[in-house]
Amino acid sequence: MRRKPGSLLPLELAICVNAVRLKHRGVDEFHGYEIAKTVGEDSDHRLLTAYGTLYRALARLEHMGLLRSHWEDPHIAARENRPGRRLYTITALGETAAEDARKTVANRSSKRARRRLAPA
Amino acid sequence: MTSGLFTCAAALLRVWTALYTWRMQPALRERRQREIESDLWEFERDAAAHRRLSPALHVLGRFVIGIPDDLLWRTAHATVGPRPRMIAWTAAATILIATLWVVDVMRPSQLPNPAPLTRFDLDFAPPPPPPPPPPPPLGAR
Repeated sequence: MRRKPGSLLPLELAICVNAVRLKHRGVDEFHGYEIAKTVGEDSDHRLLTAYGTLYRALARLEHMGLLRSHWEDPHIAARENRPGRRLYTITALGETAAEDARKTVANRSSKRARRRLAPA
Repeated sequence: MTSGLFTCAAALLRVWTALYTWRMQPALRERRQREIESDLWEFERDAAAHRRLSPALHVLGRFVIGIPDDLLWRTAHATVGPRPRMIAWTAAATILIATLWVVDVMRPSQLPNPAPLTRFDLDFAPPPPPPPPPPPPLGAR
C-alpha cells in the first residue's frame, strides 16, 4: 500500500491507539503478541494480525519515532522459562499521533451524523 | 494443549522465518526470529485465543497472510551489506565487457585493398582430335 510521507496506515494507527489504551490501563510496555491481541479485540476477525504485517508495522513505527523498544531482562525470561520478549513503549510523538487520529475519526463521524440529520 | 498439528504449523513458521531472514544482518535476523518465537510461546499459552479457531489453523493463517509483508520487509533491508553491492558491481562489469565485445564484433572490418586484376593472354592450342576407331577383326564377317 502506497502512503503519503508522514501518514499512518490503519494498522499503525490501531497500534498507536491501543498502545495508549494499554498505557491508561497501567501497561506501559507491551510485546508483539499483546498488542496484536489488543488490536484484535476491536475487530471481528477470527485471526490476529499476521506475523509479517504486525512486526513490519512495529518496526516502521519505531523507525518513525512513535514507538521505542528494547529486549527485556534475560533473567526474567529465564526465571519464567520462556523466550525473551521485545518490549515496546509508545513515545510522546506516538501518543500525539493516536490523539490526532482519534480526533479525526470523531470529526468524521460527527460530520456524517450532521449530514444525516440535516433536512434535504 | 500442544497438538501435532500445532507443532507442524509452528515448525513451518520457524523454517519460513529462517528462510526469509537468511543472509540478512545478524541483528535484524535475530530480532525477527526471537520476536516470532516469543509470539508463538505467548499464543500457545493463551487459552482465550484458542476459542475462535484451532491453534494450528490460527498460526498457519497468520503465517500465510503475512508472507507478502515478510518479503517486503526483506526487500527493504536486503540492500544493506557488502554482498549485494559486490554482486551489483560484478554484474555491471560483466555487462560492460560483453557490450564492448559485441560492439567490436559488429564493427565493419577494414580489409586491405585487393591487388589489381591482371589480364592473361595465353594461346591455348585446341586439343588433338581423337584417334580413329580400330578396324573390325576379319573373323567377324
